[in-house]
Amino acid sequence: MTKRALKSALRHGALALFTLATIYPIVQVVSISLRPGDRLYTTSLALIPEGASLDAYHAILFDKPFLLWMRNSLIVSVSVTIIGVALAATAGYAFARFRFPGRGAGMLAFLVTQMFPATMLLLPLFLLLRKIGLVDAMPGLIIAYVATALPFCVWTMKGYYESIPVELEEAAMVDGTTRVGAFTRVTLPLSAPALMITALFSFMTAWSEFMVARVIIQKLGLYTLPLGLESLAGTFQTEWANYSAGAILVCIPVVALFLALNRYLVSGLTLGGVKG
Amino acid sequence: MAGVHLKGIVKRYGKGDPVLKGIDLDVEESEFMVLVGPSGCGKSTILRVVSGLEEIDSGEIRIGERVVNDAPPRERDIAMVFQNYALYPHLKVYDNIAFGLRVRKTPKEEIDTLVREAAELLNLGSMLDKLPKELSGGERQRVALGRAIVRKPKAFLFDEPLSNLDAKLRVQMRAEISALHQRLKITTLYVTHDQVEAMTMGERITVLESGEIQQTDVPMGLYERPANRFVGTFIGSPPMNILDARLDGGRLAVGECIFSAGVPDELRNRADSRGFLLGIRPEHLEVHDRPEGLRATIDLIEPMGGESNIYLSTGAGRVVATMPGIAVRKRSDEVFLRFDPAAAHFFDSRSGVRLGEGSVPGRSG
Repeated sequence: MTKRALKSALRHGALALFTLATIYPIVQVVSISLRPGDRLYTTSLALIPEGASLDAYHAILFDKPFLLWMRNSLIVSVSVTIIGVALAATAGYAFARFRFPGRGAGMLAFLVTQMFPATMLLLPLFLLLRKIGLVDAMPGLIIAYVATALPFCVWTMKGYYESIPVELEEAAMVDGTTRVGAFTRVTLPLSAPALMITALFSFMTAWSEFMVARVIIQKLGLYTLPLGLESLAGTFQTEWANYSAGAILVCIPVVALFLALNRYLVSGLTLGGVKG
Repeated sequence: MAGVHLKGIVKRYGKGDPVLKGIDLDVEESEFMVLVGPSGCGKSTILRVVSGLEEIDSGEIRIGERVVNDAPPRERDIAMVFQNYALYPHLKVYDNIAFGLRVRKTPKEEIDTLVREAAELLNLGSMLDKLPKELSGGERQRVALGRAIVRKPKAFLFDEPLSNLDAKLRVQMRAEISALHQRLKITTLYVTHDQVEAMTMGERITVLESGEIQQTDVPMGLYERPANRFVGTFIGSPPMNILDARLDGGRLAVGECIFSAGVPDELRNRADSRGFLLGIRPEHLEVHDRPEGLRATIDLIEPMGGESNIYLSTGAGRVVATMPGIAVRKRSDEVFLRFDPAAAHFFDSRSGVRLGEGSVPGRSG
């Protein structure tokens, strides 16, 4: 084998290993969800188990309050996405385009909040929400998630705005728009890729989060998907098939969202506007 | 259409020195005024304060009859063409040109007529459905022009619109913009750092340096009667030669050479105590072999085609002379320089301000 072929084989081998590590758990979950009964362990290596059935999917969808959890999760996640994107789009713009006292400190403060582990912020967040009476309420959860997602989103938006030449907005203002008009007619449409990333990130923050939801939400009727799934794991018995089927169903909206937004996540949208 | 009038404009960024130190400038209705100067002289800042993109610290800006000091850009009814074109990348050429009209809520049919008219005028008819990224540099700049003219604004502001184009395209666009102005007669403020652009396009030119106006005049006025040393050397290419000069028995002396011509009275009175500067344009220097005039050695010859630039060292400093045709001399040749003192300019050696009228009585050479 030549040296080059060896290098290539090593590279592909390493990549294959990581790919396997990524895919194996998902395949395993799919496999468990199809097994009849709640068998977590099996000696069979078959991907599609013997006697595979969709019973677990039927059970989770219709025998459990899965659709209620899904509804709650959607309300929370969509709200977090809308509020998060709106706040990040405007705050990022202010940080990118204006010079004001506290600008540097503000950006730094945003960055610093990202340094703390989320669990550390949990207690103060809980106390804060209790003070304003939003514990065990959806708005409370939404506020908590927006607060968690916002720093990253603001930084992303700020960075993207800074890559858009300020002359485009100036041209729009000379052409007759207000500053807000220049922002909405020129800057915002050009920021589509960053807006999409921000939206995805906000959505994901809320969709798959467990810890904060566990602390803030107690009412069964307000359970989000992660809380609901966790409730399937009882003290004495875990409904592994239902659990796995639920996990797969939770993934579907996220995958769909990714596919839908994929085409916006292209770079080079601002090409050609200015020389350079 | 309207004139643009600036009175005592002061603009400062932060706490440093002002970038504009009291600018007084009157651009008459329909006039093509070029602002020229080196980088950082404040010429682009003038455009930005006229457009309203920057606020002024003091002074008065008038467009037509209206004082617009506090008016936002959209209320000033001016159009601006940027150095980097600043086309909206997500909009097609048609929508780029129509943008300002749409913002102003012009009826749809009227927008269509106006956009097509402008596109026709600028040869953009076949490109209306393209995105800016599909266009060449020259085409993009024409779209930027289209966006400016379609609104029929009170005034045009051009901020170095040609500096991103290659040399050939620049010459072509220069002519197109001039022709457009001839046709539309819209008051224009045109900023450039290129003195050739300034000389060829401007009806009048304002030369700026360090945030101050050095001189405003018609192109040949600047060339023939520069108000100071800066204007003298900035306008013209190759630049005007500046040599230390003095009076010797009432006659002009440069280096070891004493010219037989006299100097203007004003100069004589001022220059008695100290020397002054002599400015002479390269085309007014004559290179010859007779031992008469300033002795010089040729350092470099640049053949330009129709003429040659000859760089020389003299006892009084280095100079450049322009000769028609191909120079027959070569490097290191010893030659003599002669000039008609009537073509010379005199400047104060400290302030650089012009002395006298530049024409020496008794032009005997």
